Amino acid sequence: MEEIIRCEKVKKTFTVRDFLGINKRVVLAIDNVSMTINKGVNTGIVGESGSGKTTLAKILLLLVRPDDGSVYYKGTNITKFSETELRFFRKNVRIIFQNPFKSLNPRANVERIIKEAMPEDERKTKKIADVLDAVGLPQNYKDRYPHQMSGGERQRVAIARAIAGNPECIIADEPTGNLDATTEVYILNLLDRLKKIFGLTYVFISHNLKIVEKMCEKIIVIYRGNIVEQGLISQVLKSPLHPYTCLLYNPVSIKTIETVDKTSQGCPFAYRCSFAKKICFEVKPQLKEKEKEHLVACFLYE
Amino acid sequence: MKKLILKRLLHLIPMLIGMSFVSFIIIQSSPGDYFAQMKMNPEISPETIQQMRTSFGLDKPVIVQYFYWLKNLVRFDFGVSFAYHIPVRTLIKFRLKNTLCLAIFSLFLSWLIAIPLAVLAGYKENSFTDRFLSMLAYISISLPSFFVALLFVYFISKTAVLPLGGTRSIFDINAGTFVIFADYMKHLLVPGIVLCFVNTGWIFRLMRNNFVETFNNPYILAAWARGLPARSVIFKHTLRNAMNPMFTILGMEIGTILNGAALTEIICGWPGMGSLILEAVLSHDLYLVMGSLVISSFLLIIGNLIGDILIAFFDPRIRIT
Repeated sequence: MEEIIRCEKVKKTFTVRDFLGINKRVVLAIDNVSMTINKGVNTGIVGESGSGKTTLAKILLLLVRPDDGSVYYKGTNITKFSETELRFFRKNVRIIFQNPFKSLNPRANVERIIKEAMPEDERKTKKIADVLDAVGLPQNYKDRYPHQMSGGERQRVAIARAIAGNPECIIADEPTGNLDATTEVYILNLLDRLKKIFGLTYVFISHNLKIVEKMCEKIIVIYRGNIVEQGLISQVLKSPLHPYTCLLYNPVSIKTIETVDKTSQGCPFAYRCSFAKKICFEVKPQLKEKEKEHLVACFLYE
Repeated sequence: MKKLILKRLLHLIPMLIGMSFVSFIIIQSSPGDYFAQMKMNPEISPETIQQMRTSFGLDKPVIVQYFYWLKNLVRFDFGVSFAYHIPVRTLIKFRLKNTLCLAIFSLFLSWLIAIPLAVLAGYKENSFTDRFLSMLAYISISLPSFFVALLFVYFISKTAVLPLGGTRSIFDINAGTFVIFADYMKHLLVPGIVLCFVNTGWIFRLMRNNFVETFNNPYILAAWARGLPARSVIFKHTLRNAMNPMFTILGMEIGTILNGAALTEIICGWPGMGSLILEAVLSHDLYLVMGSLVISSFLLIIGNLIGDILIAFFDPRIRIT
C-alpha cells in the first residue's frame, strides 16, 4: 500500500506563561506519536476536546513544526523543509477547518478564494465553474462574499478551495462540527462523492465516532497526545479494547469517573480508568499488536 | 454610497445647530462679557460701551441673539471679532490653514511610522523586536503631549537646528514660492514632530494588536496551508483585514487631532485654531468662539464620515444598506 504521510515519534510541547510571563507551564500536546496515512485508506482520528487531535493534524501538515521526530511525505523527510520547498507538498495535501465562519477570508469573494487555491500554472486552464459544480454550488455564487452565505454553503466553499489544487489527501478537522444535522449529512455525502471522483484520501478528525464509522476505514484513538488504540474500523468498533475507546463509543454504559486533571507517569488515562491497576500509574504502556493491525496501549491486554 | 454620504451630510445640520445652541447658551451664561473689562477703564464712557454693545447686538435677549447669529451663519457670515475688529471668517481662514497643515502632516507622519513597525512587531509576536517597540510605544503614550512639547521646544531652542514659533522667517517679497514653502515646512516640523510622537504610540499599539488578532485567524492558517508565499499572507490577507478597524480610528483622528493639537500649538507657538480658541474663550470674544467651535465640530463630523466611507470602500461586509 502506497503511503502518503507518515510521522515518526513526533513530540510537541507548548509553553504557557502566566500574566506577567514569569511562571511557565509546559503542556505536552503530542507525545511520541507515530502514524501512517496510506493512499485510499480514510483514517479517522478521534478523541475528546483538548486531546491533541488538531495539533496532530497541524503537525501532519507541518503548519506546526514538531519539537522532536520527523514527518515523511512519500518517503522523503520534510520536517526541516522551508515553506518554499514545501510548495509541492502544500499543493497535494490540503486541510478543511472546523469553523467555516472563520476559515474564509471575509474580504475575498468565492471566485478569489478558489482561484487563489489553484496552483499558478493551472489558474488559466482550470475553470472555477467546474469546481463550483463539483461541490454543488450555483454558478452565481462566485461573486458572493463569505458573510452572504450560510454555514453549509461556506463549508462547501472551503471544500471547493481544498479540491481546487487537485490534492491527493485532505485533512478534515471536524468539518461538520459547526453545522446542523441535515447539513452535516449533506457535507459528508459530498465528501464521499468527491473521494470517488478525484480519488482522494481523507484524514477525518472528529469526536464523533458515528461520523468516523461512516467515513473511514482506519481509526486512531488519541488521549492527551498519546495514541491509545488504533486499527481497522471493523475491528476497533466491534470490539474496542482500550477503556477510553469504550468510553467514547458508549459513554452511558461505562461506569464513568470524573475528569481528573492529573497526569501520572504511567498511562495518561490511569486516573480516569475504572480498571486501573498499580502498574498503570507507574509505567507507560506501549502500543502492542493485539490482533492483526489492531494495536492497543493498555496493561489489561498484556 | 452617494445616499450614505448625503444622509450623513444631512445629519450634520441638526447636529451643528444643537451643538452651537448649547455652546452659545453656556458661553452667554458665564458671567461678564468682552465689554465688562472696558467698564473698568475710566477713559471709556459708559455710553460708548452701550453703543458698542448695541452695534454687536448684545443688548437683545440671548435666544434672539442666537437666532440672529444662526441667520447670518447660513450666509457663511460668522460675525465680527470683538478683539480683532475683523470678520471671524478671515481670522479662521488663516488659522485653519495652519492647523490643517499641522494635523495632516503629523497624521501622515505618524501613520507612516506606526503601521510598518506594527506589522513588523505583530508578525514577530513576543519577540525582542516586538517587546522593544511596544516599550517605546508605551513611553510615547504615557508621556503627556505638553510635556513632550516643552522638552522638545527646550531642546530645539538650545540647539537651534529648527526655527521655533510662527509660520515663516523669510519676509522677502522676492522670495520664490518654493523657498517660502520650504520655510513653512521647517516651521511646521517642531509642532509636527511633537504631535506625531504622541500619536504614533497608540496607532502602533492598536495596529499591532489588530495584526496579531487577524494573524491568528483560521483563514490565515488556511492561507499558509495552501502554500501561499509569506508576502501574500502578510500583506494581502492579514494586513488588509487588520486595517479595517483602523479606518474608523483614522476618521476619529481627523476630527480629534484638530482639538488635540491645541496644547501643542500653544506651547510651540504655532498660530493655529487651538491658540485662537483659547484666546477667544479667555477674552469672551463670543463670535470668534462660536465660529471656531462650528468649524471644529464640522471637521470632526467630516473626519468620521471619511472614516466610514473608507471602511465601506475596503470592507465588503459593510455594503451600504
